[in-house]
Amino acid sequence: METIEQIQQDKKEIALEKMRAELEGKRGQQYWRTLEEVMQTKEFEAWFEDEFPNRKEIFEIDRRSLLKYAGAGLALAGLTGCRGVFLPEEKLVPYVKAPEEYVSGKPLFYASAVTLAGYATGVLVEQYEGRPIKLEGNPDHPASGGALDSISQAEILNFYDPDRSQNVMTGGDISTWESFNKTASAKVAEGGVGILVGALTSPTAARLLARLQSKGAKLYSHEPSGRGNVIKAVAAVTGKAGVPVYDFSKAKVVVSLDGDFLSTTDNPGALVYSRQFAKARRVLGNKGEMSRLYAFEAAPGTVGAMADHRYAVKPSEVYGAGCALANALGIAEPAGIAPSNVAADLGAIAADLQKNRSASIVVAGEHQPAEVHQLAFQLNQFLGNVGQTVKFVEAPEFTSGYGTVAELLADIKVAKIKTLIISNTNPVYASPADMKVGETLAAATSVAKIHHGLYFDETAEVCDWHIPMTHSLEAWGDARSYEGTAGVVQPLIAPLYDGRSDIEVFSGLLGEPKGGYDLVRETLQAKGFGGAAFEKSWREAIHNGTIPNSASATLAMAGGAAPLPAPVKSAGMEVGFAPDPTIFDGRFANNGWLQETPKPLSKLVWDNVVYMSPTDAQASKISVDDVVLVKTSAGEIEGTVFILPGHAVGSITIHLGYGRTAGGTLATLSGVDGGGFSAYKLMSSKNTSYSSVTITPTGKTQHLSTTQGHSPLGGDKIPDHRDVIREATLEKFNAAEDKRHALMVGHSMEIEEIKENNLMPEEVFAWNGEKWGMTIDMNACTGCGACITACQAENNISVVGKEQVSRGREMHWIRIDRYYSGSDENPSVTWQPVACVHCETAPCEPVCPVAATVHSHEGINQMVYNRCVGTRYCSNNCPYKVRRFNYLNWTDNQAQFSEKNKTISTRRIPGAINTPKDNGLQLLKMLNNPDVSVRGRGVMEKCTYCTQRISEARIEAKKAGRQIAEGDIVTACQQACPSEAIVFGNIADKNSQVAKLRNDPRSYLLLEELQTRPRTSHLAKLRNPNPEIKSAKAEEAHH
Amino acid sequence: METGTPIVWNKVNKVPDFVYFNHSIHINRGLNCNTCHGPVNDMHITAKGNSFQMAWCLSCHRNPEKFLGWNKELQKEHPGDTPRQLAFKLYWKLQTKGKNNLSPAETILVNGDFNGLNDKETVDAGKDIVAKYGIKTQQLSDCGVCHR
Repeated sequence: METIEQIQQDKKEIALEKMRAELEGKRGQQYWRTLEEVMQTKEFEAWFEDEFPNRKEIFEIDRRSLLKYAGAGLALAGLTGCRGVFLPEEKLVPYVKAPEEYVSGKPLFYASAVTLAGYATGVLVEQYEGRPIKLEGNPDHPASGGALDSISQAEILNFYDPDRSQNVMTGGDISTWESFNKTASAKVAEGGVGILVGALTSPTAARLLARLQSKGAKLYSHEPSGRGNVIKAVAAVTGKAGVPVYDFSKAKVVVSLDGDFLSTTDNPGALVYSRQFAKARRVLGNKGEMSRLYAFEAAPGTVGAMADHRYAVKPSEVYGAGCALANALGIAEPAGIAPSNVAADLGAIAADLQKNRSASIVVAGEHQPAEVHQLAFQLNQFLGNVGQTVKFVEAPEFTSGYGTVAELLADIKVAKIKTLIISNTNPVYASPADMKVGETLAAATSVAKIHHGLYFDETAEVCDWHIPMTHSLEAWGDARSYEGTAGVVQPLIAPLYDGRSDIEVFSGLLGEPKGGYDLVRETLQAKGFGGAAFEKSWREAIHNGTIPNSASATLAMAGGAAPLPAPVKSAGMEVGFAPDPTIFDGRFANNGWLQETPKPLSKLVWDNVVYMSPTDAQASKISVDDVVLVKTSAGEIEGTVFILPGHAVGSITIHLGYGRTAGGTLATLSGVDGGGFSAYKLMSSKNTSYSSVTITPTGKTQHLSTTQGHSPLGGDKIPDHRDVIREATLEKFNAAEDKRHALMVGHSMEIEEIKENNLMPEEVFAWNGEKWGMTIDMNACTGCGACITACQAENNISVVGKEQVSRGREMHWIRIDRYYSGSDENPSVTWQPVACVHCETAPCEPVCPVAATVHSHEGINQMVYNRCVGTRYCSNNCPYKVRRFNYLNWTDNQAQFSEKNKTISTRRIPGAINTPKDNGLQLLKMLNNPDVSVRGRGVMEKCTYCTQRISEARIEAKKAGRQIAEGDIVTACQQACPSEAIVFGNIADKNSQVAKLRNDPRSYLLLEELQTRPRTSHLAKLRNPNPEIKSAKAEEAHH
Repeated sequence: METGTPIVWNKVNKVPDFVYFNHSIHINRGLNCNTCHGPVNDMHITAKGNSFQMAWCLSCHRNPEKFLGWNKELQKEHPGDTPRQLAFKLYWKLQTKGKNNLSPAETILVNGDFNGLNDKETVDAGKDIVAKYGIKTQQLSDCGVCHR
């Protein structure tokens, strides 16, 4: 068998005809995961034959060295043996004055907020002994409801990032705030001050910046993946800068015009929208109703994956398709141009919308141009949705009216700006190439340029001064949510470094420096908050995390909006730009958790790529991993191709955020270590959404790391052979007498047969206490990945780097498998989150020679790290492939991120004063959850059902003399999930939610016939296609 | 305290980082301090009272009734008290009545030689606590109770 390396060196051939023939011919193989799998390539064979291919190389050490290592290992083993008896002497240092309400060993939770592109999501910060360790959603915050997305959760890692900027810098040297203040105040006194900020919603920043403006400062804002287009469109229809707010729980029909309203990277209300959307599609019991989703999109995203009807449309044709839909509804102007794959179905979609007047939503993608948004608003108005499912509110962000970067550059050229302060935005990296921001700023030597940010990034490099910024976990502040509710950001810890928050810097520029605490309070006092009872209201606001009744005012839709432009027919190939689903616009590029969270559809990690449809790839003779030259009017870059089933033909998609040249160790990775390329180099300032493009193969290849081919379930080449996925259309499900058979797609055994084959007693061991179990609703899961990050934060899960991921060594305890069904041109997607299912008769247990994995009475398949000797037999015997092995010492070894590229050990972060020896690891250790063991090398690990939370709840319940109540135990993944797809509880209690769901007609056990008796059950997926649409009927017959 | 300087203590009673020990539940079930920590009341220099090895933990986790019934006399003296209160009442009794007036079980306990008692009376009293508080003995030796 070849190793993965050899296979990767072999150029893989995408023989599309062969693959399609396979798909056509094999009726049995309805579900597939990767193109390699369908074609049975060598790489797939390797992954199938061996769970961890290429481990051979570890064993290919000659006998002499093996003895040498064994010798050293034994010597160490002896020492460890000693340590067991005589633990090293430790000192205990108690508090002299213990903090308020602090009980040693118990976490405290504080309400705060984190922002993404200005918009706040309320969080509860878990704090142990003064150090924040985890962010959880604040159930009382309107943008969270208790859920939290990956990016917001990963803010905690950004906070402890050793690469964060630590010192005031000038001319390449460390300086001080005193000398900065002296220089800056002299410069500011000269006038001609320009301030460039990112999108901001903070009422305090608004107050301070308005005062600076009245003193003559010119204000600019730059937000590469901001809401500029949507705000402009709302202004056109309401006369005031605003944003739309939707209610998906009331919508029976949703049409998305390239709008990914289920991803926080595309819409700041996504957590709430996901919950509402899931609610409108939850079918419990034998019959139910679901909303119907039509999605037009270019690059496959989470909305397209959830859609009942998805249409792959080039980014520029979305507007034309939307206009054609308007025409079908009876709006004459402007005349639409319907792409051929859409045209036939428009009548049915329009009829469906008409049938559900006042109960439908048309939503446009945030990155689509303003006219698409305006069209969507007019369609909503036409359908009577405005005021029902859609409303407009005043824009929570106040920076949309500020000058643009282009205007700033023009002002610099005419010498209107003498001092420029750039706060928390990175225009040198993240702006269209044709603006030449970096060059212009570098050339403007007469302007004093000050950069204020979390990292010493590309913009800092062209500035004269860099001043470090505080993270939101270490400074006072405030911010507003997607619908305008304001909340207080409270610090959890004193600043780790010498940073100041943006509002503190603004107050310094005003010449009246104050702390963030006073500034935030002043803002509220100025608004008369709480009146005479200010202190009481303030304490309540901090406690709850929100300012009551602060949501934005509703705007009425006025007539007389400017007529919409006529759509233009697309010519030739085009490239669409979108924020990366994990690292956004590049600001999270130094965040290992986010870099290693697989992108929802491609399951790619650590890279961005040129996403391309199989048809286009075949036509241009481009294959997987080929490097191509991508050229637009603005510039050119070389990027690796990823052939993505379902991508719109005639277009490519490139995610923003990669190709950083400064801003941290992980941000600046390159080549084999990941890091991708910068999409901004292709972007033109005329249209930041899409542009026309030419693609030329270069003959080079670059290996990519994607996790989807890993861990084939059940050791079976054909995933559906054992009914891994079950699904049906709603119509079929509702009508069926036998729900089990209605949902079965493959050839699972009959229940009777399974029972007959059973060799184990009904009750494996007698137990009358709690029996823990979980259900995962595949109908609700949007594939967003919030559970992955939640699990990572809760359970101290390591990041391993691109190279190790390509060896199948990723450590995530929960993964979200993405199954395709149907053609590669526009496949249907089914999400299936899989973690350890805690089999009652677990195959991993009997094969362990040292009893390191054994069952608890409550039904948890426990992993005892200290017994584990690393045989990996358990993983080999696990049909679900959920066990993760620590091949290397991930926790203490940052060089893991690169084996070939040794630059990391000698990394240079300007102004960083941590020694190369520890590489800031001491800092990262503070992030660990003290309730969970940190695993070392050579140990197996896997999902524990958050056993630490169970223990905590059990002890508290016992102390209170009661039973563990429903809701006492919420696992980390369940807590974070925006669509409430995961439910955990006691299956022995017939009234618990989990027991009811386990007995739901949609419930099934993964690989049931293996007799493993999983405690985690899955709920089958339902689709709700429009019976009027022929393609859906054909699909149905196909099933 | 007055100078604001904390006292730096030597840690003598410790378990490895992968062992998760919760004091509160042990006290709540009436385990007396001396059961684990030895005769701290008689120590001039504090020393580890027991091995704190896993086998030692399991001796109680497997047979909790042997270790919980020590307070059968105290139970009679203070019928309304919870096991938690009785754990502390032992020291009041020691202070007010002196070592010579303690019951045999209490004497063993304050002397720090307590390895559980096998006599029927103690075991029965222990079993009562196990039954009353729903202590699931089977579960006590599940790995996940102490290791996470």
